[in-house]
Amino acid sequence: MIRYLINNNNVLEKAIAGSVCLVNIDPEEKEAILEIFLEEENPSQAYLWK
Amino acid sequence: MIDRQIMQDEMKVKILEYVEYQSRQGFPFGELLVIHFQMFNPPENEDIYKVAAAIEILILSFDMLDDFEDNDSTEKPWLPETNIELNITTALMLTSANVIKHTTFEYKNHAISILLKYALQSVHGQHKDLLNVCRNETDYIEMTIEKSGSLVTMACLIGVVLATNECPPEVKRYSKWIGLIGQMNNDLRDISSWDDKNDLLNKKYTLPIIYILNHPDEEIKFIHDYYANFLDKAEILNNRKLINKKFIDTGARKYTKIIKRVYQKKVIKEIMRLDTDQYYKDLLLEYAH
Repeated sequence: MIRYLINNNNVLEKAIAGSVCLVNIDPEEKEAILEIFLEEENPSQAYLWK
Repeated sequence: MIDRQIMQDEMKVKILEYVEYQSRQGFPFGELLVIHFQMFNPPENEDIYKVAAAIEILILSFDMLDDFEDNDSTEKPWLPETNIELNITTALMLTSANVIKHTTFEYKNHAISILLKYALQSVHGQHKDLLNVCRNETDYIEMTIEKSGSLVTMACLIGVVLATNECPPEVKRYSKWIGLIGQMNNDLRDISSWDDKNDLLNKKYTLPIIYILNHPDEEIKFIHDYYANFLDKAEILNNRKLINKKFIDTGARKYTKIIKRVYQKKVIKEIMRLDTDQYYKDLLLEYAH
């Protein structure tokens, strides 16, 4: 799931925006993915998730 | 401690030199041991610092052996005479258990059995690492917990055992993950440095390398050829810039950081569950970075 999301940034962007809901994923993994994604790709928006 | 335990003069001089060298990177295992002793409010006992030093002596012997086994002690003071240094590692290992045996702690025998159990577990993990057989995420994490996590668990549990004679399961859990996080930090550092110890040049399987080897990107197929011994090291060195870029573009770096963050979250959760002062929890959280 982590590999899939890393290679499908559009899904992550939608998840961050709240327009899709990530299912079948451990909540800790989901938080870690979104945090790192925001820190790496869009640091100015990282606060939105945290 | 070295003065009392080591009788051979030349050996003593060398060990003191190595301890001095090792002190440059701090003594995290000894620190963790002392924190874990103090946070359970035992009666004061200055011998805890002897035990902390004994554990650092054991870690020094493991670091020296690791360098000999990986052939990578180029700048370390223990490189020149491997036969002499191997004998010193034996002395260091035996010294560590002997120091604990001569302390005044009521539960010192339990502490020695923890030392033996987790040191041996680490040796098993090291063996798997040397065989280079852990080539997927699950195997790699399991091996790293065995190799690096066991040593952190050993230090933490010895501290708790000397204070309480107990091995709390939450300490066992977060300590092994702290060791894993430390190794992932090494893996992340390694992908951006191209010295002789570079994991990819040495055909090692670390988390970011496992990721990139499983990535379908056609431009990095030559890395598979190198791992299959069809390509020379020079070809990899010529493509350093491309490989550096691919570690970022394929998401290998991000992936390793995500896995590390997952374990950091697990560590934080377990530490917050501890029945101890916030002061100690804050100290422990420093080791999860």
